[in-house]
Amino acid sequence: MKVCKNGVMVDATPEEIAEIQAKENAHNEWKASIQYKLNRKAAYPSIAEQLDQIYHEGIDAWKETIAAVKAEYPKP
Amino acid sequence: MSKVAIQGNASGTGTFTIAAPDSDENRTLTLPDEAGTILTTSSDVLTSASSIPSSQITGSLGGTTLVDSGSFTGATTVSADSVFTSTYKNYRLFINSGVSNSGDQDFSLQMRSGGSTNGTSNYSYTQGYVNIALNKDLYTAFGGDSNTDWFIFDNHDNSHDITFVIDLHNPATTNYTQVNWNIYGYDNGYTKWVGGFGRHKTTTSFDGWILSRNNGTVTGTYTLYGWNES
Repeated sequence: MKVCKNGVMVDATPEEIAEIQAKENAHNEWKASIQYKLNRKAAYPSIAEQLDQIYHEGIDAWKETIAAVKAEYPKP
Repeated sequence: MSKVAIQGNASGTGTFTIAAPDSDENRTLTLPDEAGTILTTSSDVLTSASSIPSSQITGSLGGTTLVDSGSFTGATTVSADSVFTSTYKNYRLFINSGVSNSGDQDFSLQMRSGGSTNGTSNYSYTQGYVNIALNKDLYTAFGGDSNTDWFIFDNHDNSHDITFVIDLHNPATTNYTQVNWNIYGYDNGYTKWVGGFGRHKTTTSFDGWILSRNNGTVTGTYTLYGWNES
């Protein structure tokens, strides 16, 4: 495993490798735990589109749209 | 004795007047012992006919000064120590990188001092992002008050370049280190911008930085500039 220190590529020390891997694991576990939130954020219509749907189709139609996204990406 | 001549211009018709100010003092203006054109407050110093030679410009103009630069190939982390000093209050860090990884790549930034990375839970931040094709709204997906790093970019695609522009304020002083960033990357096949700001909630004086990713490696260059308010 290589790291760049002050512009020089060097082999990571065993302590640095352990530190890097621990940081990677912690980050990836945290990211996996919130992935459903990220997927939902990306899947929800924009705020403007949601307001437009409420105006034209009513609250119940809007609830169906939101519920479909929540069902597609369930909370673990 | 040298002589003083005032010479008109045969082609012009205007009258040029040497006028005294409203003053009771006696003054002497000494002409420079060289040929040239006098600049005024209205002069366009960008023209070649009337410009200040760069060799004559000295002192600080409040601009940025290159402090450090480097390149990296296949690196899992990129760090620099002893680069933040009391010489400058503010720094701008540019990182231009290509990435190589099997999946999406996340980046985080931490401060260093005395050769060690500060991993305490004192990194406060928030970040927002816009994907030019997938998101019409500004999303604020990440952030918090007690993190162990500043999570500065989420889900950069494999094999695309990414540019980091990171401003750090007060890193080498005992004031709080403040940071803000603009990062231009790629996510799900489209250009993505991430902006954020944060603070290290201690008055620690830092002398270095470290960029980490969550998988794969990075290849690129970095440059660090320092500047003070003039």
